[in-house]
Amino acid sequence: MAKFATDFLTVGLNGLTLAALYFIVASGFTLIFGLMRTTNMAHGSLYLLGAYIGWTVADATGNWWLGVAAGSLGVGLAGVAIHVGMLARMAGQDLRQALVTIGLSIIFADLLLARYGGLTYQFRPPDLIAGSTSIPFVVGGAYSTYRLFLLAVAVVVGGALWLILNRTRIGVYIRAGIDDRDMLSALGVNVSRVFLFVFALGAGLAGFAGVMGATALSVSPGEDGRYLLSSLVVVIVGGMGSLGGAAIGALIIGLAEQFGLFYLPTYSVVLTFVIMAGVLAVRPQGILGRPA
Amino acid sequence: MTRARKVPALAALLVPVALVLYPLLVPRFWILSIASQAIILGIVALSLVFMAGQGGMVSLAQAALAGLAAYMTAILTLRLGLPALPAGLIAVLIATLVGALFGAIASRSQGIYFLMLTLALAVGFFYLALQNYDLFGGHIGFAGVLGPTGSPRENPAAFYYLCLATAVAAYLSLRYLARAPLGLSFQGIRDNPRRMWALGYWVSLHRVAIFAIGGLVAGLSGVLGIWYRGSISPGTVDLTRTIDVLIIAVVGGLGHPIGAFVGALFFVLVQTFASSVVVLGFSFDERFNTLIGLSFLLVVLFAPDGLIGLAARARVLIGRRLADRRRDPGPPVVRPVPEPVPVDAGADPPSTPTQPLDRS
Repeated sequence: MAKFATDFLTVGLNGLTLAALYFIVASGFTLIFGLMRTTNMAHGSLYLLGAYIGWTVADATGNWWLGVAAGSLGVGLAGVAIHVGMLARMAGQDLRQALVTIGLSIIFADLLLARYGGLTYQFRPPDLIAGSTSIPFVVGGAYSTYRLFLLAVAVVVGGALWLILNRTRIGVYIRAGIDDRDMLSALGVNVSRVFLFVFALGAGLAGFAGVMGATALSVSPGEDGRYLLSSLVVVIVGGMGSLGGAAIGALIIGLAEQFGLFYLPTYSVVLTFVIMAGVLAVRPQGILGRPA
Repeated sequence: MTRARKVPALAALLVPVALVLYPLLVPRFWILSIASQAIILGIVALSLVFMAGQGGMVSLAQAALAGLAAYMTAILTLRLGLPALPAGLIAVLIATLVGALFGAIASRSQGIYFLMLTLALAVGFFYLALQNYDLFGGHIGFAGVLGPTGSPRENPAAFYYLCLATAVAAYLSLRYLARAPLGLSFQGIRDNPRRMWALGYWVSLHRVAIFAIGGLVAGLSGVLGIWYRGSISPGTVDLTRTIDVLIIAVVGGLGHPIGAFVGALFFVLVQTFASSVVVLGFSFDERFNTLIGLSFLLVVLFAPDGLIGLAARARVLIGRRLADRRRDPGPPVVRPVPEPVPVDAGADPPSTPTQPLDRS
C-alpha cells in the first residue's frame, strides 16, 4: 500500500485515540456546565491530580487497575469537597465560580509541583493491554494496544453516560435540571443533591481521564493547562452542555490536531483555532449547543 | 463629611508629586523591579478593567495581546532593523488590529462563554508562539531588544518615566472615554444590548471597538514589557501570565481603573517578598503561586470589589466614625439600621412611632 495511505491511516488512528481522551475529559466538563452553569476552570487541575494520585497508587501497589480506581475516586471526592466547600455557596454567580476555580487551579498546580516536582512520570499498563496489536495497512503493521483500549474505553464511557442520562431516574432529574432547574426543585426533587452527584461524576471523569491519558502519554506539570484548553475548545466547538456535542467536538479537534501536526507542523494550532472561529461564526452556540 | 471629601483631593495632589519624585529617592531595584514592573503589569490589567467595566467583558486574551505586541517589537527591531520607537508604535497598532479580530470572533458570545473563548484564544496564541519557528522563534523567542531609553539597568529613571507617562496617558484617556458619548454607548450596550440595538446602535461593532481599545492598551504594556526585559519567549504569554492579569485586575478591583495599578503593585510586592512570608510556621519560600492563589481566592470569596473596594469601605467606615465623633452628643440622624425602640410595658404596639427620620 502506498506510503501516503499508511501514513494517513496511522495519523487518523492517532487522531481518533486523542479524540477518545479529549472526549473523556470534556464529557465531565460539559456535564457540569450543562446542569449547573458552573465553568470549572480547575478541570485541568483535576485531570492532573487524578494522574498523580493514580501514579502514586499504581507505583505503590504495582497494580494499574487500582491506580485507575484511586485516581477516579480520589478526584471525585476532591470534586465533592470543592462543590460543597465553595461552589454550592455561590450558585448562580457563574463568573465568580469561574474565578474561584481559577484560584483553586493555581493553588493545585503549585502544590502538585511542590509534591511531585518537575519530573515526567510514566505508567506501565498491565500486560493485557500493553504492547502492540497487528493491524493491516498502518505504519509498521502494528498499533499500540493501549491506545486501541483507550478508544474502546471512550466508547464505553460515552455509552454509560448516555444510559445514565436517558435510562435512569437521576438522568431524568439531570435532563430536567438542564431545562428548568427551578421547576425541578418545585416538583420536590432535591436539586442540590443532583448537583453534587453531577459534580462528583464530572470530577471523577477528569481523574479517570488523568490516569488514562497519563498512561497513553505521560504526566508532568503543565498538563493541567493543556487539558483545560482542550476541554474548552471541544465544548465550544461541540456545544456547551451537550454530551453528543462533546463527542463531535472531540473527534474534530483530535483529528485536526494530529493531521495538522503531521501535514503542517508549525501551524497545527492555528488549524484548531480556525475551526473554532469558523464554528463560532456560523453557530455561536456550538454544533449541537442550544442558543443561550 | 467635608473631611472625607478632602482626602481624595489631597491624594490627587500628593500622588502625582510622589510618583514623579519617586525615582530620585529610592535605589534602582525599587525603580525597576517594583515600580516599573508594577506599572507595566498595571497597564495590561487596566485594559482588562476597561473592557470589564465599559463592556462587561472579562477578557483573558489581554496577556496574549501584550505578548503579541512584544513579539512584533522584537521582530521589527531585530529582523527589519527599525528604530525602537516606530517599532513599538507599529507593534501597538498590530495589537489593536488583532484585538479587533479577537473581538470579531468573540463578540457574539457573552459572559462565561466569552471568558472561555478569550482563554482559548490566548492559549492558542501561546502554542502558536511555541511551535512556530519561522516567525516567533519557537521556544527560544527573541533577545537583545533595546527601548528608546536604552538599557533600563543603566538608565532606570528614564525608563521609569517612560512607563509612568504611558500609564498616565492610558489612564486619563480611558477615564475621559468613559464620559464621552462613545463610552456611554459602550455602557449602554453592556447594560442592555437589545435596547441599544433597537435604538440603532451597531452592537457588534461597538464590542469590536472595545476589544480594539483593549488591544491597544495591552499592546502598550507589551512594548514596555519587552523594553524592560529585553527578551521575549513563549513563557511570557503562557497560561500563568494570562491568569496573572486576571488576578491583578480582580485583586485590585474591577470597579475602577485605578484598581489595576493597585492590584499590580500588590502582585509585584507579593511576588518579590513571598519568600519572607511565614504564616503559621509555613514558609511561602518558592511557593509564591500558592500565596498569590490564596490571596486571589480570599479576595473573590470575601471582597468581590477587590482592594479598592476594601479601601472605599474602610473610608466610609472611618468617615462615619469621624463624623460621629465630631457631632454633638445627641440623637444620631442617619443610621443604616433602625435602633429598637424601647417600648413601655403598657404601650399599644400599633401606637409605636415608626421613626420616619431613621428611614431617610
